[in-house]
Amino acid sequence: MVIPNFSIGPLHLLDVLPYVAIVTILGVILLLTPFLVWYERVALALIQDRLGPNRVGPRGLLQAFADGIKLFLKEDIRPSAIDATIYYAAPVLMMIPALAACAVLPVADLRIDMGGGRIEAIPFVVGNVNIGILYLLGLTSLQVYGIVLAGWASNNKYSLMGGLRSSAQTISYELSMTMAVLTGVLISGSTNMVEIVRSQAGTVADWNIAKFLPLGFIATVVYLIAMVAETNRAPFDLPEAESELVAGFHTEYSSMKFAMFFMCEYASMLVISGVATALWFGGWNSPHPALNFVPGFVWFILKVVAFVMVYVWVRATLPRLRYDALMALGWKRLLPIALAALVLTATWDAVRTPADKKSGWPVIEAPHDADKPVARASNAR
Amino acid sequence: MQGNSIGFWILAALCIAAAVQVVANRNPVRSALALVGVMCCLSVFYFAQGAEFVGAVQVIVYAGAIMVLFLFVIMLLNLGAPNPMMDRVGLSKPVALLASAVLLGSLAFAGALKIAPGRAVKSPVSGTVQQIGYALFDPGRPWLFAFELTSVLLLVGVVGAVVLAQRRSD
Amino acid sequence: MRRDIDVMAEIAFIYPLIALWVGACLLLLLARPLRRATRPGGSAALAGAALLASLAFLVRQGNEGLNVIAFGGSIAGDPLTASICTILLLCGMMAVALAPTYLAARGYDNPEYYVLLLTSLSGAMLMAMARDLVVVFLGIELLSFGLYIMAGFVREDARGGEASLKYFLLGAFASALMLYGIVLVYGSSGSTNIEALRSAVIKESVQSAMFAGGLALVLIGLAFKAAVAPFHQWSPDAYEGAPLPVTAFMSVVAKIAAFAVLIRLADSLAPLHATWLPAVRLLAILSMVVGNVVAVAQQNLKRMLAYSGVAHAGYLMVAVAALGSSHAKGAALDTQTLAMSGAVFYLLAYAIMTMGAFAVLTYVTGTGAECQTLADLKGLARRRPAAAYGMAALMLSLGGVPPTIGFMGKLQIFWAAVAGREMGLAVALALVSVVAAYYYLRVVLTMCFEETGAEPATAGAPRAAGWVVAISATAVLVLGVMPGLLMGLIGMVR
Repeated sequence: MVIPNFSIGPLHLLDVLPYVAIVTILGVILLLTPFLVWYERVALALIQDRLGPNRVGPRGLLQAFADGIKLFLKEDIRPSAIDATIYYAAPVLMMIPALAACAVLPVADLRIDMGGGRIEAIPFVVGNVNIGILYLLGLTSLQVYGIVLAGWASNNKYSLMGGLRSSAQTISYELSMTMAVLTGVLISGSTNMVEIVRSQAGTVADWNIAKFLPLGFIATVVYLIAMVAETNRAPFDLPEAESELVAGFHTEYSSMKFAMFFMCEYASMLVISGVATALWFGGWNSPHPALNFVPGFVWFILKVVAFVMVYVWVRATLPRLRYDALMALGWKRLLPIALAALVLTATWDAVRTPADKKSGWPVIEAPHDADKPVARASNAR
Repeated sequence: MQGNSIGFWILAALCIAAAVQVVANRNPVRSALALVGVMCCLSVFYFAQGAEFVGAVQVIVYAGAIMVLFLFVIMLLNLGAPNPMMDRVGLSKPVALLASAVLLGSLAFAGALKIAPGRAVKSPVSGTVQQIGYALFDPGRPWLFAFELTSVLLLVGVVGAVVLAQRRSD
Repeated sequence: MRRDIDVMAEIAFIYPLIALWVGACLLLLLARPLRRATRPGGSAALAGAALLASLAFLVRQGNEGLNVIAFGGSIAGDPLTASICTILLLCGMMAVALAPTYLAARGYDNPEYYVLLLTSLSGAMLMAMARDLVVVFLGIELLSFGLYIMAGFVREDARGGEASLKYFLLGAFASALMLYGIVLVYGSSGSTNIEALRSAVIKESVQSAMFAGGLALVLIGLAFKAAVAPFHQWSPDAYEGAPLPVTAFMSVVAKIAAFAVLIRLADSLAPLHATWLPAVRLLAILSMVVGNVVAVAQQNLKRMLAYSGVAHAGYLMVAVAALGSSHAKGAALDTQTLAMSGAVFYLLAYAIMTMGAFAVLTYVTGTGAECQTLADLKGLARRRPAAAYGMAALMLSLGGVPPTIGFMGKLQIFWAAVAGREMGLAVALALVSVVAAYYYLRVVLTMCFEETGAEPATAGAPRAAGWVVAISATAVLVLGVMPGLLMGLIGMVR
């Protein structure tokens, strides 16, 4: 599917593309959340052999909207003796990284006719930055603040416990996740999300999960486990563990603030699934060239939805981990495995690369020329 | 150009305000949060200078891991309770103020007033991952040794943590 | 383009360091069998072997190792480096010998102690080798991490924990200041390499306030590590609280390493003398006066030795000032050599004397309660005559009484100061030495002439510590009479 490069007045397609991407991606994620809730509840009901939502709207499809309206109209309770600023800021602090992370998600490669029969592949992404994957890691690591601060500011011991658990859990699993991501970066040879996806074009065998067998697969599994832990979803939902901590970090939150936490959970689920798709499962690439007629974004969405299904499936199947088991899994199992996978991948890559392809040390300008006084940067401007 | 420097000054003001909050705020959690703010501002400075990798790592390592650990410890010890941590003020505050004023003064004297002969340090490498990698692991450059040395340092840190935390019964 | 770098030769240069690191790793890997061993001392033996191997590598390098510049100029060898590293390794051996009995009596003769000791020592050696401020900083951290933890190694001892925490907090603060200083130096000169800084200074292209400020902060960081007044406040508490073998190691190694860097900086950045020489003079005077005067009031020997360490740091600062001053005044090369070899000689003397003194305390402690105060030493001449005479020799040497190594060391620094035309400092040095004699002699008097009801000592004194006492006391006297024996080591400094 080739799109002509057109302009409306002073606006050229290539210039407005990032803005279109912002609006589309954010819109889709925010609008999808209610349906995601419905999707989860229906899937859970299926697995647990019960009916699930079926009253509001056709097949209960509007249930989530009804819940949303209910939350919106509820009283906004302000607990006593809270740290008000932080209490109100916490849901926002959680929402910002979740949404900002969408900026580097590569949704599709648009083939645009640049005129004269020249067709270029332009990625449909908000920011095609070189360190996309590092940006994502940074934002994921910031997301924990929302939970920790919500727990602390609520002046509630259960909330505090939830926040504490969350900070320990996130730090522990972030390590494994980073190691797994770095393995993926090594396999693809780039930190740019778009390049990572492009490097996986072809068949299923070209996806990162299938490369460097079994190392790519191992790293994928580590990533998938760590990603569930990072999003605080069952079986890693210790921060909210309703049977122990009432509702954990958001016990004291009501009304729209609670809804924001709720939305965050789903938004970050979508984003993290998108990252997993791009990093390990070929992103917008089709599983086989014969299926290339289906547009890239369809593949992307299909894969993301499949991941959400995995999330739900895991939630319905596995019981919540005990705290010490959670720590043991993170530090004693996942981290060594992820480290080993990273080191082995690097070794394999170094051995496999033919000698003439190995890059020598490029000449970079001399580091120390303290002898020559250089004009001050501000003056030079 | 102009936009850049306006951005710089706004960010610099934010960064300094946050840094002052780290020291001045009586609530340890807020202090820690202000430090997170400082880290994030620094990261933006790095990005603005083209050091993308360092900027990203700044957020991932400092804001994302170390400061979370700080918060964890503060919350675990329940230092966030309303009673202020620093009860004793005494002589330390004026002395600290004086010392920082002297330091700040000499720095301002040296830097901002441009008494110092202008000398911009040309960044030896630009900030992409590849170039930093090449610079860091080049045996002909001084940084490889320092880099490898940090691994010994980290090993000592791990051994030390184990020594201090292990139970006595061997 | 691949540059032709003989990586193996560069790695061969750091074999002494690698030997220590390999020893540390072996200790970690063998931790289980070593802990289960019935006889204590296995870990110490392994650590000692690593130190010997390191020393062997250092000796084998011989003259080859004196002109190596390795790893992009971040470390290099020269006579100063070689002699300092040798001294450090000797100190390491003595410290290892002191530890097993003391720690085993408290249930802490763990391999980890020696791991920390070896890595800490490697950090000190790195500081001597470093030609780059970044490596200096990493060396300081490597040195300090081990010391912080070793100070609190006996965890039941609350004062040990206090010492560890205090040392750690203040040390981290000093490290941060120093790092800030390095940043300022880099910001104003564009380099952290000492050679590059030297050439920049000679061309007078970096004599800015920022550079001077950075240098001042670096100086403060090093002064902290060397416990130079007024940055010495941590040292009495840390020395008192830390276990005796750790105090011995800490007092000697940290000081030597910090002075190795100070001497190098003074030598390299001499053209900047107008900026830093007044500060060094001030530190020297303050350190000599504060150390000696406050030491008089101490009843606790560990604290007294801490203040005596401050005073000795002051004497060494005199040597540093003389070195810079002789550069500044365009004095002959001989004067600079005099100052430098004087400083190195004094470092060695200080190492032997202080190690020996702490060895006596460890020896007397044995497996019992720590011998810390003057009162504990009462009647030692009757209880343990050999230890008492050893201690007497060491105390006389610390006080600078002839014919001991302490006297020779002070004489050399005095000469250097006179030759470098630092008359004020020379006079101050002579004056405070008189005060110093008082409190060292008091120890001797307490041992010999004050009696206590305590029964004569029973068996169980640690043999290794006894050897350390014997060797250091002998060395103090022999080298005091024949300092020429050391010229092979010291004379080549320049």
